[in-house]
Amino acid sequence: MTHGTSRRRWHPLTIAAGLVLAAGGMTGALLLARPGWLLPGAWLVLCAAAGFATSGSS
Amino acid sequence: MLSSPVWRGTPTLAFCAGLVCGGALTATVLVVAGSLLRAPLPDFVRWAVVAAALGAVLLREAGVWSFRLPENRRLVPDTVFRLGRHLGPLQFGLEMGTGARTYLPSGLPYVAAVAVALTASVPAALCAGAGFGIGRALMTTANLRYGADNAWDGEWRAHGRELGFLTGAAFVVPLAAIAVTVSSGTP
Repeated sequence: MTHGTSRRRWHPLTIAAGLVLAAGGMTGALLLARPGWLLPGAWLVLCAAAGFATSGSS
Repeated sequence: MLSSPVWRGTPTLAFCAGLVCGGALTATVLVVAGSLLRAPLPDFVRWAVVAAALGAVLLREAGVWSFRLPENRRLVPDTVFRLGRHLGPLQFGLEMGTGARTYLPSGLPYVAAVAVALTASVPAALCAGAGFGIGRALMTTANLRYGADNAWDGEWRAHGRELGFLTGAAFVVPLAAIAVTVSSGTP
Protein backbone atom coordinates (compact mmCIF):
# COMPACT_ATOMS: atom_id res chain seq x y z
CA MET A 1 0.00 0.00 0.00
CA THR A 2 1.45 3.36 -0.98
CA HIS A 3 1.78 6.26 1.41
CA GLY A 4 -0.81 8.22 -0.61
CA THR A 5 -3.36 5.40 -0.45
CA SER A 6 -2.88 5.09 3.29
CA ARG A 7 -3.39 8.81 3.77
CA ARG A 8 -6.57 8.79 1.68
CA ARG A 9 -7.92 5.83 3.65
CA TRP A 10 -7.44 7.60 6.99
CA HIS A 11 -8.42 11.07 5.78
CA PRO A 12 -11.19 12.58 7.98
CA LEU A 13 -13.49 12.96 4.95
CA THR A 14 -13.10 9.24 4.12
CA ILE A 15 -14.05 8.25 7.67
CA ALA A 16 -16.98 10.68 7.73
CA ALA A 17 -18.21 9.36 4.37
CA GLY A 18 -18.00 5.81 5.75
CA LEU A 19 -20.14 6.85 8.69
CA VAL A 20 -22.71 8.39 6.33
CA LEU A 21 -22.81 5.14 4.33
CA ALA A 22 -23.27 3.09 7.51
CA ALA A 23 -26.02 5.46 8.67
CA GLY A 24 -27.76 5.25 5.30
CA GLY A 25 -27.61 1.44 5.26
CA MET A 26 -28.90 1.18 8.80
CA THR A 27 -31.69 3.67 8.14
CA GLY A 28 -32.77 1.87 4.97
CA ALA A 29 -32.89 -1.46 6.76
CA LEU A 30 -34.84 0.03 9.67
CA LEU A 31 -37.41 1.81 7.53
CA LEU A 32 -37.90 -0.91 4.91
CA ALA A 33 -37.84 -4.08 6.99
CA ARG A 34 -38.51 -2.57 10.46
CA PRO A 35 -36.71 -5.26 12.45
CA GLY A 36 -36.68 -4.09 16.06
CA TRP A 37 -33.36 -5.85 16.71
CA LEU A 38 -31.62 -3.36 14.41
CA LEU A 39 -32.46 -0.43 16.70
CA PRO A 40 -29.33 -0.80 18.91
CA GLY A 41 -27.23 -0.86 15.73
CA ALA A 42 -28.73 2.45 14.65
CA TRP A 43 -27.88 3.90 18.06
CA LEU A 44 -24.32 2.66 17.67
CA VAL A 45 -23.90 4.32 14.26
CA LEU A 46 -25.38 7.67 15.27
CA CYS A 47 -23.28 7.84 18.42
CA ALA A 48 -20.17 6.84 16.46
CA ALA A 49 -20.87 9.91 14.31
CA ALA A 50 -21.24 12.00 17.48
CA GLY A 51 -17.97 10.64 18.86
CA PHE A 52 -16.12 11.24 15.60
CA ALA A 53 -17.53 14.77 15.42
CA THR A 54 -15.62 15.60 18.61
CA SER A 55 -12.32 15.28 16.73
CA GLY A 56 -9.83 18.01 17.30
CA SER A 57 -9.85 17.59 21.05
CA SER A 58 -6.85 15.30 21.07
CA MET B 1 -0.08 13.47 23.30
CA LEU B 2 -0.90 11.25 20.30
CA SER B 3 2.74 11.42 19.16
CA SER B 4 3.84 9.59 22.31
CA PRO B 5 5.58 6.24 21.72
CA VAL B 6 2.88 4.65 23.89
CA TRP B 7 0.56 4.79 20.86
CA ARG B 8 1.96 1.69 19.21
CA GLY B 9 0.86 -1.94 19.46
CA THR B 10 -1.26 -3.30 22.28
CA PRO B 11 -1.43 -0.06 24.32
CA THR B 12 -3.49 1.36 21.45
CA LEU B 13 -5.96 -1.51 21.87
CA ALA B 14 -6.13 -0.80 25.61
CA PHE B 15 -6.84 2.85 24.83
CA CYS B 16 -9.63 1.94 22.38
CA ALA B 17 -11.13 -0.53 24.89
CA GLY B 18 -11.08 2.28 27.45
CA LEU B 19 -12.92 4.59 25.03
CA VAL B 20 -15.66 2.03 24.44
CA CYS B 21 -16.00 1.23 28.17
CA GLY B 22 -16.08 4.94 29.03
CA GLY B 23 -18.86 5.55 26.53
CA ALA B 24 -20.83 2.58 27.84
CA LEU B 25 -20.36 3.84 31.41
CA THR B 26 -21.77 7.28 30.59
CA ALA B 27 -24.66 5.73 28.67
CA THR B 28 -25.49 3.49 31.64
CA VAL B 29 -25.58 6.50 33.98
CA LEU B 30 -27.75 8.39 31.48
CA VAL B 31 -30.26 5.60 31.01
CA VAL B 32 -30.57 5.04 34.78
CA ALA B 33 -31.07 8.77 35.47
CA GLY B 34 -33.30 9.08 32.42
CA SER B 35 -35.57 6.25 33.57
CA LEU B 36 -36.64 8.53 36.44
CA LEU B 37 -37.15 11.55 34.18
CA ARG B 38 -39.03 9.74 31.44
CA ALA B 39 -41.55 7.94 33.63
CA PRO B 40 -44.16 10.76 33.76
CA LEU B 41 -43.62 11.90 30.16
CA PRO B 42 -45.56 10.55 27.17
CA ASP B 43 -43.55 9.36 24.15
CA PHE B 44 -44.28 12.39 21.97
CA VAL B 45 -43.08 14.81 24.68
CA ARG B 46 -39.81 12.92 25.08
CA TRP B 47 -39.17 12.96 21.34
CA ALA B 48 -40.17 16.64 21.22
CA VAL B 49 -37.46 17.39 23.81
CA VAL B 50 -34.92 15.45 21.73
CA ALA B 51 -35.99 17.35 18.59
CA ALA B 52 -35.67 20.69 20.40
CA ALA B 53 -32.17 19.80 21.61
CA LEU B 54 -31.21 18.67 18.10
CA GLY B 55 -32.57 21.87 16.53
CA ALA B 56 -30.66 24.07 18.99
CA VAL B 57 -27.40 22.18 18.47
CA LEU B 58 -27.73 22.19 14.66
CA LEU B 59 -28.27 25.97 14.74
CA ARG B 60 -25.18 26.26 16.95
CA GLU B 61 -23.10 24.06 14.64
CA ALA B 62 -24.22 26.15 11.66
CA GLY B 63 -23.11 29.30 13.45
CA VAL B 64 -26.65 30.77 13.50
CA TRP B 65 -27.05 30.61 17.28
CA SER B 66 -24.18 31.01 19.72
CA PHE B 67 -24.35 29.50 23.19
CA ARG B 68 -21.98 27.57 25.42
CA LEU B 69 -22.50 23.97 26.35
CA PRO B 70 -21.10 22.60 29.61
CA GLU B 71 -17.77 20.86 29.08
CA ASN B 72 -14.73 19.97 31.11
CA ARG B 73 -12.18 22.36 29.58
CA ARG B 74 -9.06 20.37 30.30
CA LEU B 75 -6.89 17.69 28.78
CA VAL B 76 -6.65 14.29 30.42
CA PRO B 77 -3.40 14.68 32.43
CA ASP B 78 -0.20 12.88 31.36
CA THR B 79 -0.03 11.40 34.85
CA VAL B 80 -2.44 8.62 33.81
CA PHE B 81 0.51 6.98 32.03
CA ARG B 82 2.18 6.33 35.39
CA LEU B 83 -0.23 3.41 35.70
CA GLY B 84 1.78 1.41 33.19
CA ARG B 85 2.01 0.51 29.54
CA HIS B 86 -1.56 -0.78 29.27
CA LEU B 87 -3.41 0.54 32.32
CA GLY B 88 -2.35 4.10 31.53
CA PRO B 89 -3.81 4.13 28.00
CA LEU B 90 -6.85 2.22 29.32
CA GLN B 91 -7.56 4.93 31.90
CA PHE B 92 -6.84 7.66 29.35
CA GLY B 93 -9.37 6.05 27.00
CA LEU B 94 -11.89 5.55 29.79
CA GLU B 95 -11.74 9.23 30.78
CA MET B 96 -11.91 10.40 27.17
CA GLY B 97 -14.69 7.91 26.37
CA THR B 98 -16.98 9.18 29.10
CA GLY B 99 -17.13 12.52 27.28
CA ALA B 100 -17.18 14.24 30.67
CA ARG B 101 -13.47 14.49 31.50
CA THR B 102 -12.09 16.52 28.62
CA TYR B 103 -12.99 18.91 25.80
CA LEU B 104 -16.10 18.15 23.72
CA PRO B 105 -15.97 20.41 20.65
CA SER B 106 -19.20 19.19 18.98
CA GLY B 107 -22.77 19.59 20.22
CA LEU B 108 -23.91 16.23 18.80
CA PRO B 109 -22.92 14.20 21.90
CA TYR B 110 -25.21 16.42 23.99
CA VAL B 111 -28.16 15.56 21.75
CA ALA B 112 -27.17 11.90 21.95
CA ALA B 113 -27.13 12.17 25.75
CA VAL B 114 -30.64 13.67 25.82
CA ALA B 115 -31.90 11.03 23.39
CA VAL B 116 -30.36 8.16 25.35
CA ALA B 117 -31.67 9.49 28.67
CA LEU B 118 -35.22 10.00 27.42
CA THR B 119 -35.82 7.32 24.81
CA ALA B 120 -33.27 4.47 24.73
CA SER B 121 -33.69 0.95 26.06
CA VAL B 122 -30.79 -0.52 28.07
CA PRO B 123 -29.31 -2.50 25.11
CA ALA B 124 -29.70 0.56 22.86
CA ALA B 125 -28.01 2.78 25.46
CA LEU B 126 -25.07 0.39 25.78
CA CYS B 127 -24.69 0.33 21.99
CA ALA B 128 -24.91 4.13 21.93
CA GLY B 129 -22.14 4.39 24.51
CA ALA B 130 -19.98 1.87 22.68
CA GLY B 131 -20.64 3.76 19.44
CA PHE B 132 -19.45 7.02 20.99
CA GLY B 133 -16.25 5.29 22.07
CA ILE B 134 -15.81 3.77 18.60
CA GLY B 135 -16.25 7.21 17.04
CA ARG B 136 -13.54 8.66 19.26
CA ALA B 137 -11.34 5.62 18.57
CA LEU B 138 -11.80 6.19 14.83
CA MET B 139 -10.57 9.74 15.35
CA THR B 140 -7.42 8.79 17.22
CA THR B 141 -6.65 5.76 15.01
CA ALA B 142 -7.02 7.79 11.82
CA ASN B 143 -4.96 10.62 13.32
CA LEU B 144 -2.11 8.25 14.14
CA ARG B 145 -2.17 6.42 10.82
CA TYR B 146 -2.53 9.49 8.65
CA GLY B 147 0.93 10.76 9.44
CA ALA B 148 2.99 12.85 11.79
CA ASP B 149 3.12 16.60 12.39
CA ASN B 150 -0.59 17.01 13.13
CA ALA B 151 -1.39 16.69 9.42
CA TRP B 152 -4.72 15.01 10.21
CA ASP B 153 -5.78 17.88 12.47
CA GLY B 154 -4.87 20.26 9.67
CA GLU B 155 -7.10 18.32 7.25
CA TRP B 156 -9.90 18.44 9.83
CA ARG B 157 -9.60 22.21 10.09
CA ALA B 158 -9.39 22.61 6.31
CA HIS B 159 -12.58 20.57 5.74
CA GLY B 160 -14.44 21.53 8.90
CA ARG B 161 -17.60 22.59 7.10
CA GLU B 162 -17.92 19.42 5.00
CA LEU B 163 -17.10 17.26 8.02
CA GLY B 164 -19.73 19.03 10.09
CA PHE B 165 -22.30 18.32 7.39
CA LEU B 166 -21.31 14.65 6.98
CA THR B 167 -21.18 13.85 10.69
CA GLY B 168 -24.44 15.75 11.20
CA ALA B 169 -26.10 13.67 8.47
CA ALA B 170 -24.71 10.42 9.91
CA PHE B 171 -26.22 11.45 13.25
CA VAL B 172 -29.59 12.92 12.27
CA VAL B 173 -30.69 10.32 9.69
CA PRO B 174 -30.49 7.24 11.97
CA LEU B 175 -31.97 9.23 14.86
CA ALA B 176 -34.97 10.11 12.71
CA ALA B 177 -35.27 6.47 11.62
CA ILE B 178 -35.24 5.36 15.27
CA ALA B 179 -37.97 7.88 16.10
CA VAL B 180 -40.12 6.69 13.19
CA THR B 181 -39.55 3.02 13.98
CA VAL B 182 -40.30 3.40 17.69
CA SER B 183 -43.32 5.62 17.06
CA SER B 184 -44.77 3.08 14.65
CA GLY B 185 -44.77 0.50 17.43
CA THR B 186 -41.94 -1.77 16.34
CA PRO B 187 -40.72 -3.61 19.46
